[in-house]
Amino acid sequence: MDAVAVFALIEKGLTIVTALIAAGQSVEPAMQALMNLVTGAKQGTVTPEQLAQTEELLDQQVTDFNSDIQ
Amino acid sequence: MRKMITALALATALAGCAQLQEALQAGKLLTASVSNPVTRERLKTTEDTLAVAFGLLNAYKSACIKGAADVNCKSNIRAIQVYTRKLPPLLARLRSFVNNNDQVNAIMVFNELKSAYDNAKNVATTAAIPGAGAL
Repeated sequence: MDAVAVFALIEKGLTIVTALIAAGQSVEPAMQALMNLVTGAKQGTVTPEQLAQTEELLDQQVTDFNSDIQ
Repeated sequence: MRKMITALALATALAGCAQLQEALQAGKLLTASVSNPVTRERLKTTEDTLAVAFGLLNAYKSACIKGAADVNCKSNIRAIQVYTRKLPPLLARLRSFVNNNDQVNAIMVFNELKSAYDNAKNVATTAAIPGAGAL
């Protein structure tokens, strides 16, 4: 991912986070996902630790969404 | 009034995802193939992209629970869950195949995962969930 794409990602990510805060929503998962993307783009390679962090976040996100809604 | 502001803010957040999608072209869920294998880097980018998408789906679900989303939100969420509940076992298998560099099976499972995600996205779009087109 080139620098322009990374900066665009940060800009749009901040837009989303700002709106989520205004809506009273949790911003941590979105922030973490964006950080993971930017970190991966910056370094160009993926370590097992980075992958594990991403997978933990995604698994939690999927579990939360898949839980029954009353 | 408060509900309107919350709904507007949520819609703005989800609409922002359309722009985010442009920035995420590298992470778009393109069909895997022998010439487009599932590397560890691609797996991570895919999982990061899914995490952002699920962050927004969870924001919709949270707004629904708080009564700040549309009246059909519960049935919309249940319809999407039909497909998103297929993802955990597929992700587990995909990670295992990528770790073992078993590209034949990794490509097959990746495309199954993509299909389930696309179906979830289509349900969200048909239900007119704000920003669903950007997922």
